[in-house]
Amino acid sequence: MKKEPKSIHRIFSTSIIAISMIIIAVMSTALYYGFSKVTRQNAQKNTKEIITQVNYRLGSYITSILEISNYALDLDFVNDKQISKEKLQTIVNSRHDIVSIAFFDFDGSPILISDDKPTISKNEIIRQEWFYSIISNKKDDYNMYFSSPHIQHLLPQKFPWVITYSQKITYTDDRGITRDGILMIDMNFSLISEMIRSATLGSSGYLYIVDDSGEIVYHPKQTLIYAGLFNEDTESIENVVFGTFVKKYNNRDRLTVIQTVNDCKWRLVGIAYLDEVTEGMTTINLLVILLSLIFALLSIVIAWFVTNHITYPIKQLEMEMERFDIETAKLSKPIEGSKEVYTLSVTYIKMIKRIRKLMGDIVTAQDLKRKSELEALEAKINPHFLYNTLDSVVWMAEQDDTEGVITMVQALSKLFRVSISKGHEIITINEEIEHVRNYLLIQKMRYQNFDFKINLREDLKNCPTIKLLVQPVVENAIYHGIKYLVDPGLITIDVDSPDEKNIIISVSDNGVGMDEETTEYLLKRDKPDYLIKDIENKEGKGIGLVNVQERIQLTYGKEYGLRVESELDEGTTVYIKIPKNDSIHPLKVAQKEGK
Amino acid sequence: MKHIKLLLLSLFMLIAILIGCSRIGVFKEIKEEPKKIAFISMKQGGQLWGNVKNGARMAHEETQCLVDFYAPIEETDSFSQIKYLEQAASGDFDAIIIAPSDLTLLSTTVQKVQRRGAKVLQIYNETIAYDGFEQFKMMTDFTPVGDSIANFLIEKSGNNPIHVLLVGSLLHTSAGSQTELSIKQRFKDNSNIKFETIYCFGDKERAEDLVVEKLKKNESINFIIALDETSSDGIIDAIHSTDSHNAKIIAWGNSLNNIEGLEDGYVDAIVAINGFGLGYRSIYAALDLIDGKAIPSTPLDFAIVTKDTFLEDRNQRLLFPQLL
Repeated sequence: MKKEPKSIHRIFSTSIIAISMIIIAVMSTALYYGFSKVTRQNAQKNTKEIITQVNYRLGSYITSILEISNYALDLDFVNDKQISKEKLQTIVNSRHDIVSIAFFDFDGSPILISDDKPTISKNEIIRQEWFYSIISNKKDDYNMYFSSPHIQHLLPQKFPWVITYSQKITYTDDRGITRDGILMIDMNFSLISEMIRSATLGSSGYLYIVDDSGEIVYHPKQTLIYAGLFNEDTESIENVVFGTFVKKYNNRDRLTVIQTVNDCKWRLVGIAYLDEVTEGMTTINLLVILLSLIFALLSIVIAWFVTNHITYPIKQLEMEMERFDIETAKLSKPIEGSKEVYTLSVTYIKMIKRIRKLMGDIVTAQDLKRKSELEALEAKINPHFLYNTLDSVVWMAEQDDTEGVITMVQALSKLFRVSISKGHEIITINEEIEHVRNYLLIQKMRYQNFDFKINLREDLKNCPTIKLLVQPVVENAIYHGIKYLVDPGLITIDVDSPDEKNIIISVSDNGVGMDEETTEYLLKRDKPDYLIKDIENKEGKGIGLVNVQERIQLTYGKEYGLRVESELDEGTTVYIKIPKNDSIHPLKVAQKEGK
Repeated sequence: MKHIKLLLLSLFMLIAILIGCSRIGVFKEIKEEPKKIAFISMKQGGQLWGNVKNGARMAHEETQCLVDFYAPIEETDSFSQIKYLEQAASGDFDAIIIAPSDLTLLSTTVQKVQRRGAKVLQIYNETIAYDGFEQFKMMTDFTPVGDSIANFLIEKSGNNPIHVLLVGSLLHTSAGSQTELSIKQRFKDNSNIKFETIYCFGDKERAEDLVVEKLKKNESINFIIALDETSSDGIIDAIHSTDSHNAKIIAWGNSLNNIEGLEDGYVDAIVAINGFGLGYRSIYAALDLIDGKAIPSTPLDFAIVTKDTFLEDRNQRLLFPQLL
């Protein structure tokens, strides 16, 4: 199957749109990835900054606890218990984050406690994590401990959630013996959790604290974790003390930032959900999509305009060529457009002009040929007529009809003058009628069986006509109409103007007339053979009227010419229609004759 | 020219649509309409129901569903529960969570609203299940609680005769009935044990009076077991008002009253139930019910806490579920 060739318009527009789309796609992708990268980097940076700030606050808080512990250690809590207790109570009362401060012996016996007497026994004390962790530690360089959150049931009817800071101490008892003991500071868990909870990482991100053993110290979902309803991914941070990584957990990508808290073995872990930190990307993505769409549409519009600008003149030229009628169309101006199209258009117009000129030359040549043919025809008729007329003159001379001879010769003379007309083709109607009159005179003298009448309106006498129009018609009337009559015939010639534009010359005879078929073919060059034979039998080749018709139409146009009305045994009328033009001067020949 | 107009018009329309869409937030995350859940607990107040509500609130924060809480003032007021249940069923709630206070009275209404298309999840207690009627329930099996109490009784009694006084608040609750039945089942072949059960009908003074009276009449009573928080409070008050008794007390719930009793030694054990987990899980189960998923089979989270086990991490977390 042959492929239909694609239009220039389509090729251009498709190419422009394709190139634009590729550029837009590349740019959009680059923009998207560029923005994504920057947004992620910013999100990571912000998350790190938040965690650093929280870490700083937490570090400061831990430092303040250590300062309190140093302060407590400076107290003479063995010998001056009352003053030491008051000082510790002052600290506890002034700071909501401190629940209690106490010194214990290594067997769990209280040495000094900021509050009243503890409700729990020393057996219960030594079972607590903060206590046995210090006791069980053999390394001297590590003598402090931060516990997990727990209920501190040190005082009656008080069950606060605390984180206990405990520190190994060495003191001299009232007997002067150096002993090991433990300093304990209970920190209010809710205040610590509030400190961390206040920092938010997106709408569902959070921070939590794990200790060096991987136990969760603080978590915003600690209640759920304790109830076994939530699990934190502590495995992934097991051996990480500082750093950032992204890991999928529960089908969500999480940015995990880990920092170590100063002065304790806690690690602060920030969890930010990437789908939240990159939430702003949605807007940027939409903007990129919107811009891409707009640019895509613009590129389509631009492609359409550009392509149209290029192809429209070509299309116009193509349409001009398609609908161009070489004979009737007016040559338009060259088509505006690109230089190439303009040049093509100019060349086309030149070509059309050249064709038209060549066609005009052909028409002229054909006209000349036709004219020469007619003239040749006229030239053929005249000798025959002359022979017959001269034969008649000889006959009349033999009969001593001098007057007849004179009349016939005079008529013949006038006939030829008009025929020659100094080579002019156009003569006045009067001259044409005079020519016919002379012809009729000659023919009347020859055949003597008809009469004729001529009616010419005075105002039409000088109207122009081509010469020798009426004579062939009259000749037809004589040879094909009157000649076969037994009774004398009558030929009537009327010259009239029914309106301002036309002149009708009618030639009527009361001859034998013609049947309908003969009438129909009378003015046609191509006649049936039987008709040609019939006409030839009646003298002539039947082309006289056709010639007159062609001459009139060649000169005046198709709307002019002959019309024949005939009826058998009644006669025939031939109407010659020519245009009514302004009067002209008769030829000198005719004028001389007139004089 | 016609094409240009058409093209420009299309461009204009597209831009207008995009701007319009961005203005009305079509491109913003399309948020699903939050699910609405009615939560009907047995009574207003009480440590257990406070923890249950806290758990439900936590789940609400996570799931963004809407939770409306309803509860009668008295746990004996089953008719208020019926009223709330019918109101919720007539309202625009996607699911109803209920802790029915009467297994017979509530059963008809539960069936009725379920037939009307309401999705009802029963927690803690369950109503009578009729044949061919599907009930949705969670953490309503108290048989393990009864077993654990029975184990405690065995551990503490040795081979001595046991006289147990069971104190419940409501006669027709599945939790109380199952616990009682489970304890009795463990000792069904033991002729050395005697059970007595009394009910205070939501009135702790009545519980106190009944316990005091029983202790006076039966000095052989060596175990008093509470089957709910109200009864537990009444028992502790009775112990305070009784000069001498030999009974070991098993309290119910993590009220401060019970914990202090444990601390001071007049309570020997506490049945600590994870109310927070119950509330939290029930919201997720209700959401599953709305989505047509199966309700996960979750056992009741509880522990028998004694003075010796009081400081254990798990027990601390059960007794003091709220860290803040």
